[in-house]
Amino acid sequence: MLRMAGIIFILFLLGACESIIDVETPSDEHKIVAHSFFTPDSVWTVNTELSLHTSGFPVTLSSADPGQTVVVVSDDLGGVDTLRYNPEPSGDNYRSARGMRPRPGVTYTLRVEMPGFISSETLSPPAPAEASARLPERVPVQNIAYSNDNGTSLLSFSIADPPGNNYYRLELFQVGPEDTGPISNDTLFIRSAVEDVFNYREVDFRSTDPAFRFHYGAVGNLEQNEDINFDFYGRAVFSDDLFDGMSHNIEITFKPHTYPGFQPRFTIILSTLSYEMFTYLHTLDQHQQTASYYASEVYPIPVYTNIKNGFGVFGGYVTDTYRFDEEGNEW
Amino acid sequence: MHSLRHYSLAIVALLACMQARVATGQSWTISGYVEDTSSGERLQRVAIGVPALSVGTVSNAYGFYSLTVRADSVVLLASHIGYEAASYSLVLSADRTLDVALVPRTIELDEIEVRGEQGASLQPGWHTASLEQIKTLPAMLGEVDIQKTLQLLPGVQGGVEGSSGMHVRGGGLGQNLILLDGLPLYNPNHLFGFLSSFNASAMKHVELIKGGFPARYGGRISSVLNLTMKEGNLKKFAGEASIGILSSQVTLEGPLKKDQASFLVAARRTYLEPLVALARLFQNQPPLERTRYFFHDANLKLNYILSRRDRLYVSAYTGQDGWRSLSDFPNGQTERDHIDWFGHLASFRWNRALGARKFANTLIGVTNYRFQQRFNEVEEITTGQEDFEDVYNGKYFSSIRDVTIKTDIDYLPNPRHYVRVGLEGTLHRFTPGAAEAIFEAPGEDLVKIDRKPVGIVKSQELALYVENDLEIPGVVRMNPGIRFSIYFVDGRSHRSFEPRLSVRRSLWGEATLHASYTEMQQYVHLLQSNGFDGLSMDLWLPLAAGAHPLQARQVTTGFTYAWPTTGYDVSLDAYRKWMAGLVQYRGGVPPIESAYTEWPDLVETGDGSSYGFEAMVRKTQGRLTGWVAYTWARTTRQFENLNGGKSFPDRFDRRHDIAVVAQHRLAPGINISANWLFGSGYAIWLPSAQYLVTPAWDTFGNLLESSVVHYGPRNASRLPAYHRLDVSVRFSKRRAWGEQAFVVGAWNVYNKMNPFQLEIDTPYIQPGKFRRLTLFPLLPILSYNITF
Repeated sequence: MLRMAGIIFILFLLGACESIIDVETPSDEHKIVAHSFFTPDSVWTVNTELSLHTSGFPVTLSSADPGQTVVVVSDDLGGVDTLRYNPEPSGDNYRSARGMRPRPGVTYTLRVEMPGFISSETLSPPAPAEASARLPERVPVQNIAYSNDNGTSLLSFSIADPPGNNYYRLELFQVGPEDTGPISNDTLFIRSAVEDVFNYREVDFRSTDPAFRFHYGAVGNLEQNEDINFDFYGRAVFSDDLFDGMSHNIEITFKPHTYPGFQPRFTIILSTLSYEMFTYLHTLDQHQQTASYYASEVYPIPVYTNIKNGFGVFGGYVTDTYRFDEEGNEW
Repeated sequence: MHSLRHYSLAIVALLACMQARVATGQSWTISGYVEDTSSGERLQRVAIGVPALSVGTVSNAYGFYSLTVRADSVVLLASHIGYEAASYSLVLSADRTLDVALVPRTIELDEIEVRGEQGASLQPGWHTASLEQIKTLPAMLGEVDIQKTLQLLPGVQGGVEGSSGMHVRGGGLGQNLILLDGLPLYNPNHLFGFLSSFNASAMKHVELIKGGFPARYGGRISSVLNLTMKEGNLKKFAGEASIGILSSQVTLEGPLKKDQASFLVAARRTYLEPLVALARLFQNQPPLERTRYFFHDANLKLNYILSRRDRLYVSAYTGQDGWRSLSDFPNGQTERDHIDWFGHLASFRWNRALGARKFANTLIGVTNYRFQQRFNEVEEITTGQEDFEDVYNGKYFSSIRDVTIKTDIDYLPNPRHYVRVGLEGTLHRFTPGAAEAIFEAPGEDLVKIDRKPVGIVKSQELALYVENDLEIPGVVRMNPGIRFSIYFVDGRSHRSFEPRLSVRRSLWGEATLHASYTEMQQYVHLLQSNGFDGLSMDLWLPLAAGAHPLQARQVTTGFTYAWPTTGYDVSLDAYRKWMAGLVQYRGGVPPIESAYTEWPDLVETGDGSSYGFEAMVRKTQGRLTGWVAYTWARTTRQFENLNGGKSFPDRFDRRHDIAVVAQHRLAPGINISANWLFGSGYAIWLPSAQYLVTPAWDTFGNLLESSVVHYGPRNASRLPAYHRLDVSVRFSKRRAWGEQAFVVGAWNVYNKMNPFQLEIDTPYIQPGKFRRLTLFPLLPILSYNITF
């Protein structure tokens, strides 16, 4: 009897069964995906792709036929630039052949067409993708102060926030020796430096600034008074909700990486983001964070897109950079 | 036999007509209680009338009745399903008290009694479930489940596969007012929501209201589930016991003092632990993880007749689900996880007859629900020089506790009016999400975290109602009423005037046409995670600053008809419901976030709408009984910040729902029961595409590609249709000491792989395919029951 009960119970435990089934979903396969984070520091560059069905393996994503893709950027002043296909080891893209760069305060429109690609699903080319975004004005970092106490660095600075909605991203990097990983338990990998001078490594930092809590997702009461030290892994994305139109002081603390025989040097970059880029980065962060939850525990967060008839983002940013060494001196 | 009973009733009615004399103008009131002669239990909803005068009433929830007649000699008839009809010839010269004693009808072995209402007495949107039927229908693993039986009714959906929850007419689980002996129960679930926590053996009466709510009910917007526990046998000691696959239960009742005081105790507990241990015998190596799960519950009822007019009751319920997990890792680290769900309820009730035409019921009680998770991690660290331990202890909990006091007064001035007035006050005490954690490590400061974003919130709710169940002879019977409520929290107040109207008109014979309009308001919110309902961290919340009460308006119309003598009846209902102030978690917010953030920041708020058509045909007499229920419904939600502000289908929007329930007496002592359910697919929000993103295409131009999935319109996909067949056979035998029954059967007989959850299994399967998780394939039904 006991053995029988055990067998019955095991059958119950094994009762959770999995099987593969068809489910009809709205299909967004083969829509144009365009990404462009434009900045005055570089010429126009746009990445294009095609979306795939959700159940395909990501590496099988097919690029659009470069010869059949038309990428055009225009501005509200009448300027038009048709970008040229640009194969690169780090990823093919479309780039301005005329060396055109975006300018702050100007609104740009992106249009991507793939007339040569015929979707097997619709038997027609994907609808042209369009998006518009305005490049914001630069907001500089001011009143910078740096100190180090027993290996913990404190950096403070202020920003004069212009009236209206503004969005920011703060990044902290440390210059490290080339081709050498940091001597710590960090799992950061070495990046190849585009500027071919230094290796820039992200530095994690902490801050109690309530404005930074926005970085932590849709949740979080920005106005709660408690001092909570939040961790930021190399960057923080935040808005001016709490200091609109005012000067705002920001303090962060961090522990520099240790490189024997190599003097620590740092770079902070404050980017003023367009609304589109801010929302994209914000929702992308959340989307990826929540992807680790079991599917049914939380409602998913869709990644923001401003691409009409497609996916991706067309948004801009303007940076202000400050470089300093361990003495706090600018370099 | 049934025909004979009908003839008997007709003869008695004829005699009553002959004996009734024309009123002299003086009216007398006959009042008293209706009782079961075998147990002394008071019986509710017993029809009492004087056919000659065409007047009648029904006993209230506590068995009290009052009937005023203009005659000095009458024959009073009392009838109730399952009981022999009783008649009393009365000569009246003053108001008269008369306790009606009904003798239980001798039921042939295993003949199932189905319901206690028929024909014109059917009320729109009301269902009275027969406990006998609930106990004999096929139940998952043989575990009798009241809520799962109610899911077989039109307009009631169960949610995710196997869940015992109720989504009534497009409403959520937290919108059901579940009353156990008059007090709300906040945690009606066991086994992660797959079983309801009500022990059917301890119950006397189960009633579900889906629409046409009378004013005496309030505080929830979608349904009222009214459960009444047995009072305890005043005459003799009796009991029930059952052994099932998951759990066993025992119910005992009897007189503490014959005909004056009685008790009922019922207890149920799982015994999965030894079965899990048994299962380990089949494993070849010691497990690293040991888990344990259990639930238990207990009911208590005490009943004391203080005087002819006064009666006292004590009701209590306690239930707990527990999950224990212990993991040992090779590096010496151990993790302990304890999760508990508690539900408690206790009430004291005083019934008093205030003369012949008034009856008062006063109740004071406390109910609470608490969820808590405790975890302990110990890591042994060896440096070569010394050994030490890092210890981390944490706890998350949320709770709600209500203290309620209320008084209801029934006033029956004459047979045409049944007036009810009442006052109810509730003190709510919420702890909506709190976390405590302590981290100890040698050489480091003790780290303590104590998080209560909103702390303990106390609020007060006061409600006043008046309703009148009145009859305009030959025209309509109606129940107009109004409920006023006010809610205080954090120095703010919310008010509500809720008009209610229910109208019925007899058309011909047993045919009635009905319509209703109700407004409801709810001041507490239930937050549940996506998809799973009742499974984990239910969070009951008070109204926060800026939040709105839940509100609903519902209109219904319908038709009922009962074929005389055949036992068939049909009911058709159509409804339209509008809901406002609905809440759901924002995207990406896990329930534990409530320990860190004030709840208004966790949720989105919006509106909802539902409309549908329900049809039910029943057969309530004969060897074959049962019903066929069909529901066509559409439920939508509209939230400003979700789906671009556009309306979208609710997660549990289901277009078609069919339930076929049949019970057949094959032979004396052998009954076969079967359910077949079909439901078109629930709405589900699935990704519609994926594409590459470049999140780290940052200032330095570094490209870190990864892919994300794109979610299209919310809930635009559909799960596959749900259907299953359950069959059980009950073999019973009368013994000198009582009755024994053995139930055997199968749940989901044809092993339909109904979806519990869908997941994308990206790299390994073909495009367009999803991984379906099924929890309940073919399962056995097995139980042994005795009654004595």
